[in-house]
Amino acid sequence: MRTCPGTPKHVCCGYRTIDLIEGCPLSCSYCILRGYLNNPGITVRGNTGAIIEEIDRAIALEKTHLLRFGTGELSDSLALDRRLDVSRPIVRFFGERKGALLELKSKWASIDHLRSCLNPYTVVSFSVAPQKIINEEEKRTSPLVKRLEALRKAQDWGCFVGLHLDPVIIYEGFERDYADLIDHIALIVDLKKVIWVSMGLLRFVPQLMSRFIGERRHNLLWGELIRGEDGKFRYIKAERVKTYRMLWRLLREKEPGLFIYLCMERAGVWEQVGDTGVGTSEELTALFDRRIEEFYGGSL
Amino acid sequence: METIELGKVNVHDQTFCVSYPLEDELLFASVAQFGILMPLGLLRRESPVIVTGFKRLEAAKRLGIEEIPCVFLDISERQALLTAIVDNLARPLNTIEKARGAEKMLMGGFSTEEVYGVMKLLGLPPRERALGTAVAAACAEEAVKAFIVKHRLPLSVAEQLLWFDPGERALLMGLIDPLNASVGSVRELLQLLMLLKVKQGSISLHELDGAADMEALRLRVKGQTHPILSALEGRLRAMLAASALPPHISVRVDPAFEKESIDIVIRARNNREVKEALGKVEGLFRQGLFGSIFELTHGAPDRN
Repeated sequence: MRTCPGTPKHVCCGYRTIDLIEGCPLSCSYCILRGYLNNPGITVRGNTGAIIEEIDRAIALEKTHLLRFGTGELSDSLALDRRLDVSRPIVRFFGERKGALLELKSKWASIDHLRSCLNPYTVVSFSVAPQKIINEEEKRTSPLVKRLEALRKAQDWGCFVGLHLDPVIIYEGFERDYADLIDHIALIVDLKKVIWVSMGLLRFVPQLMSRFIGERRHNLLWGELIRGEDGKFRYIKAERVKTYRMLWRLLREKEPGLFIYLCMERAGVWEQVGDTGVGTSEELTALFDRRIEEFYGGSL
Repeated sequence: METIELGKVNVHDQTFCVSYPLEDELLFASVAQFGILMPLGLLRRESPVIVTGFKRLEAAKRLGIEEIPCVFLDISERQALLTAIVDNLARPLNTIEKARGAEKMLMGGFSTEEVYGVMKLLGLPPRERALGTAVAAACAEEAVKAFIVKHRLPLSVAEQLLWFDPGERALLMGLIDPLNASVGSVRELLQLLMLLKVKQGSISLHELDGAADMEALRLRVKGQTHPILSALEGRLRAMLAASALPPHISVRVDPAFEKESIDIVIRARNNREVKEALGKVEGLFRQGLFGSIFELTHGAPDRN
């Protein structure tokens, strides 16, 4: 278990990651794991008991904030879970502990095997993208409609759900496709029961640039990319601000109470997007605390 | 050491030839003055094959020398190829020569690990991708090989050049060749052009004709790959030029316009110079220079 490394000079949400699995079979073209993990294989940790003890200690030690944990940082939370069944003990632990939230973040719409153990302290989240991007850059993942149906199913089972528009990719005509995506989300998912929505525009480590050029990743390279202060490639700030504003507006039009946050963005971008007034990581973490309080009241 | 008539040597067999190009004016002048002092290494055959000394042979042919000193090597073809490569390690090899060494080993049935071992000696990264590029460079069109050698391009930049179609390569080399291009400038230009091609699906290199220098060429391409950044840079240049900053005051802006903050740097030797500079900065502030720059660094015109 570790604190999400975030990225220097950017606002971070204080997420904790649980590395049950390292590596991912979904092989999305833009995946940051292609730049970070040297091992092409997939590593599964068998010491779930020790990991749970570590999480328990972290929850006990944290006196200020409501901790959020996720297993989808170095892998997809659900892609291998039906076969490996590694999430169940962790999901059960969070349900019994009732002191923090676990987020299962995925692009693989397979949650039926967890139905018996899912509880309100597990947030089922899906990363979503226009079907064009799923077809071309996320070829091994579930289609959009399956992801949205899985989210709805989780809501019907009593779970809160999360949405991650991440990475948002700027390609020719992306504005229309993302507007359609948000329409599609609102048709299937009950937005009042969405605990959070993250937005993060495409960013990647420098070593992936030559790979994207070599693979002629037209979608990924269509927007105007610059090297950020953290060394990663990301869209130029003016484009990021414009795109975030557009998505923020579209989402809020569907549900004015939605809690939206930007993943790994600069304070200067936060200032210009939305209405939260976030300028520091601490302020963002506090917003999360309030949001969780709204949803869980005194049960957390 | 023996001598052999040039006519008896199989001068067309390039199996062991790593050297590129074979013409070497310094060596030619030396052979013209002193003759061939170092014997060529020949593989003993009915018609002996050259293992070492291809450049000396070339000079001898140009000078009409009919008999050359030689040493016959009673070794296998594998040993002969290694001998040819190691013999050349005594001098700095260009990228094509290194590539040829790796390519010949691969084609000669050496294992990948053996090739990687020699690649390390040659100063090439012992990796599959580098080996692939080396093979492609060794087998490239003559003009490409000559261009790589002329501009002293390392394998990584050769890889960029080879990424383009043959027609595009020819046009690119035509654009760059007349300009005084450093390795870094070629690398940067090719990177931008690769990006442009992926973005647009194709590139029109004819539109880039007539650039005065590499920087002008780079800016033209960057204007297409990074139109927003190029426009911001242009606006900043214009603002700074209009503000007529004295040499002891500079305004530094993050090159990617990511950082919202700017650095205003004053160089002063005494209180009087500080006072003068602060007065100038205040004047610029009143003129709105810094507010205009902040509009650029904040990424939205409605920020200030």
